[in-house]
Amino acid sequence: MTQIPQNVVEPPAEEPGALARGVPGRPLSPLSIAWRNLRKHRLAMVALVVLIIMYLAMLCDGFVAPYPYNAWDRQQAYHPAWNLHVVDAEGRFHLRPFVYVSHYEFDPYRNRIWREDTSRAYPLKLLVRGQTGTMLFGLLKTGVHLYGVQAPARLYLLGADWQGRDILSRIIFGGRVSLTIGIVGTAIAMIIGMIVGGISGYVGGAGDTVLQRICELIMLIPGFYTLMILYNTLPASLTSMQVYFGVVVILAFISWASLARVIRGMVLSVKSSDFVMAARAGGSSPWRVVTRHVLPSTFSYAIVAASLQIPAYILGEAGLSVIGMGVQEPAPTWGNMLQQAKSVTEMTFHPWLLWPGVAIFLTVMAFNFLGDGLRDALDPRTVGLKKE
Amino acid sequence: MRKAGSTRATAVAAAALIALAAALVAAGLACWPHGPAGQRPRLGHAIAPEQYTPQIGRRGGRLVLPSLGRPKSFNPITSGEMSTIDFTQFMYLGLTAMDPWTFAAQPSLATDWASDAAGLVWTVKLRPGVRWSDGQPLRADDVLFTFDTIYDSRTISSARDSLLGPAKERWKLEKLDDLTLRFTLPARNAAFPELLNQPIIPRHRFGTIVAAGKFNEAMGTNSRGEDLPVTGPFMLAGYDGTRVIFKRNPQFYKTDAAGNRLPYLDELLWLIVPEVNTQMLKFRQGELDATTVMGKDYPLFVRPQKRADFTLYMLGPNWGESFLDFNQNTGVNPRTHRPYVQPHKLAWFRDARFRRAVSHAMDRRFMADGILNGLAYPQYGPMTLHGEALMANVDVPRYEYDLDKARALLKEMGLEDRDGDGCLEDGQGHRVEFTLTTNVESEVRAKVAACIRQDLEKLGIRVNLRSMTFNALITSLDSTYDWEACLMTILGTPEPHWGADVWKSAGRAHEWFPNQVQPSTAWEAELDEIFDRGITEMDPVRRREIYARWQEIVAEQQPLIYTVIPEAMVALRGRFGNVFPSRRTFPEPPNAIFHNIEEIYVLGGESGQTRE
Repeated sequence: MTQIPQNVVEPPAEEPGALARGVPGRPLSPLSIAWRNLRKHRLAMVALVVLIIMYLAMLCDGFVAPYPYNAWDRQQAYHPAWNLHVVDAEGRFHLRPFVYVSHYEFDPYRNRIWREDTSRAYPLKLLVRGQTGTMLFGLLKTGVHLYGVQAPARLYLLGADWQGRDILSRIIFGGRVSLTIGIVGTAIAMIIGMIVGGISGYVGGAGDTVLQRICELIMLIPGFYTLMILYNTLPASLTSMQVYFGVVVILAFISWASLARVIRGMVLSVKSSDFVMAARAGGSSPWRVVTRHVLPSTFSYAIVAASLQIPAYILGEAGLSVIGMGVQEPAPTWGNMLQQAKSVTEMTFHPWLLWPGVAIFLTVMAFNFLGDGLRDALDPRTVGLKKE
Repeated sequence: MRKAGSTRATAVAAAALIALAAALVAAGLACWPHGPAGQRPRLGHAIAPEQYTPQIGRRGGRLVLPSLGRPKSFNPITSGEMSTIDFTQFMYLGLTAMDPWTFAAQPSLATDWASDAAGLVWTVKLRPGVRWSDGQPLRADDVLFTFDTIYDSRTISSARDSLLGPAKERWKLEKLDDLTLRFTLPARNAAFPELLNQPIIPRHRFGTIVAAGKFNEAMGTNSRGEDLPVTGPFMLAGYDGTRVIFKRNPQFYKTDAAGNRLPYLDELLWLIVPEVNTQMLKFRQGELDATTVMGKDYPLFVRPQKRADFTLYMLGPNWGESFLDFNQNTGVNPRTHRPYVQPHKLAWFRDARFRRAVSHAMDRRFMADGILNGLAYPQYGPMTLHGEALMANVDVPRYEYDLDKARALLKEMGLEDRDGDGCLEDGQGHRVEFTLTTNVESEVRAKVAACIRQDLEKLGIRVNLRSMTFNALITSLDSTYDWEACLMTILGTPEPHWGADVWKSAGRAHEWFPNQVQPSTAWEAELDEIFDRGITEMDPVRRREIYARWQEIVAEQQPLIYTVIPEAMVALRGRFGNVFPSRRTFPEPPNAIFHNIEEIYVLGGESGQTRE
């Protein structure tokens, strides 16, 4: 442990800007301090990079994915993963990877036996024209794909599902739901949680009691059952986009209460501090005091809580989808893709259907590591302890 | 901050689970495609009746079977659901039973039945010497009592309607002596011998209960075996919510060729396993002696394995009808005063050309290949896959996969792409789209729905998929009528009349437009007439002609657009003898194997091997 420099401990923790006074030059903003601390957290940085790549891929899904999510080809049902070759049928090595057109037959035991037509190789190309897909949540259309092969050959890096749809493309498109559901849901839960928690903590008295009992009621109900019940209340005629928002709102509805309670606790402790007293003495309206003085000091917690809550949403969506509720086919989500891999047969004979599970795993882990890093970086007490 | 910590803990735990799944991927990849070494199990098929040559077996042992559902009671009269009949069929016999090969009525508790020339008065002889499991003899009184109970309006009975017939008149039963009965029918009934399969219950045990009007609650799942005297091969020994145990009925009337009293097995045990995948696992682990196998799981069963000690019986197409149907209900919702189906959609749905076009668009071959590994059969009419049944007519119009014909039919109807957006529109500019409902429980059906969606997309018809629980779907079909199209399966039967409720326009199960006051189309009127005529026609050849027309109309009009029927497959451990599977795969495939349950025995040497 390094010695704590005297001048760092001096200022109150509520004014993190002052923490960096000991550093020569311009005082650092709280954000840059946090960023500096975060950069030292190697696991968190790796997680951040992974997430940035995933989100970029998701935003440019139509371009990054070689096929639109619903591009089916029944002749290619259950095509195994990875059909890229570098060595051709005659044993010659090619620098540029290529694929062959393949088709299957059933053997007497009803296994699909794949045969490749080696008479023509289709090289892997960058920036190829293919089927038109959409990107940026469907706002832009693109017929150009980052990589791909010329039809009729098809590229299956992670294999195909029972309709011959490319799993990799579907995972990338599935990010539209699975990667955003956590952020949208947490944002909603956060807003409700902060408003309710802020009012509850600041006003106190009967209002506090009523609001807290409501929170407890919501927390009392087992989460997954509430999910299922609420899902069944959605009207049946919804489009998959509307179902998506329905699921987000349901997930947010379940999780705002616990946030509200913690925020309330923090507000209670901040309420009696000097700067809040000063603001009240200065004649600020309660709304202004809460929004300008009290809630901002809970932000660091809120950010950490948010990054740790996001995985819960991703898993919640996956859980709902696996039992057949949630966003419906053909729109992909990692959850409804995993649903296909539920049986022993699929896991034994078509294990590549489990790849969406790997995507969920990576994302959840990344958010957890990032959340860990953020907590360390934003915690005012640890800020000063780090070596400058 | 505690809460955040615990959220994270759950998240990490869940992530670890997914990591486990990822490890499974790796494991799966490692063992694929070589698979484990070992033996392949044997394959078996349905046999012809002349190959049915039962051997003298040994007493003892037991058979462990899976059951998807729990019994709701052990009451054979009030229960209509499969989950109860699966059990009661081994406890209570009817006067007749179904021949496993010809599907005709064969003697059971009755040995003989004959009608007078008019076909209205039947004399039925009971089998002498039959005793209930409590030692009381079976008498004609028991039969009278059973039919009285069914006709009793206080009894909830699904059989009552089919016994009352269209005239809603009771059969008159008279006892001539202890073993002879006379049935006087209000109208001729060609299916009379088959209808005598109603399970007979003991009057000496339930007489007072029925008289007190408490029969619906009798024979509940908490009954003790001693309280339920049976005539069947097995009687209840216990039920604890997860297992149903039956023990041998020592009074069962049948004996083998050597005079030994049947059944051979001491015990039948069902494990309640509500999920097919879990059943499969339990079978592979040796906890179950038999399991139903779906086409998609076939490769898993036939690949080489360590415990290849079973035979996989492939019994041909299942008895059943799987179809897509459109809501043709012209009615108006009395509460909202709006039609059940939007009028422009109703016009398409009620047009046979539209339904034929949909049939032409269905790629049934892929449905079989992609979903069930090719172990399924395309179906085009009610009995096109069951030519072996007496009343079957396989020579019906078939609207096979042909997109050009489908497009031509739609164009003829005036449905074409008018604004160049790739979607069809009708004359008023309505886009041709509909919602297709399936139930979440059936994976196969969900996949068939996805196929149909893609197939119709090729024609420019948009299909929105929607899934709900089975019960919610049934409510929608039977009472709220707020559906447009749905995928359903009904049990097929070799005797057409048993499906009368489906085919007659006033029927409650007339899926596409139930409970009609007047038949809404000419062909539905003709169906009504066929089913009224078919049941009163006693000559099998003429009956066959009558019902041939029914199958023709259904195939032509496509009120039900048939999809594919899976191969019925059952895996059974090899240590059982006297296994003679027939083609009788309804209501459920295992019945094809266990039609002679009383003769099945454990082969020498290794009885009681099955773990519990």
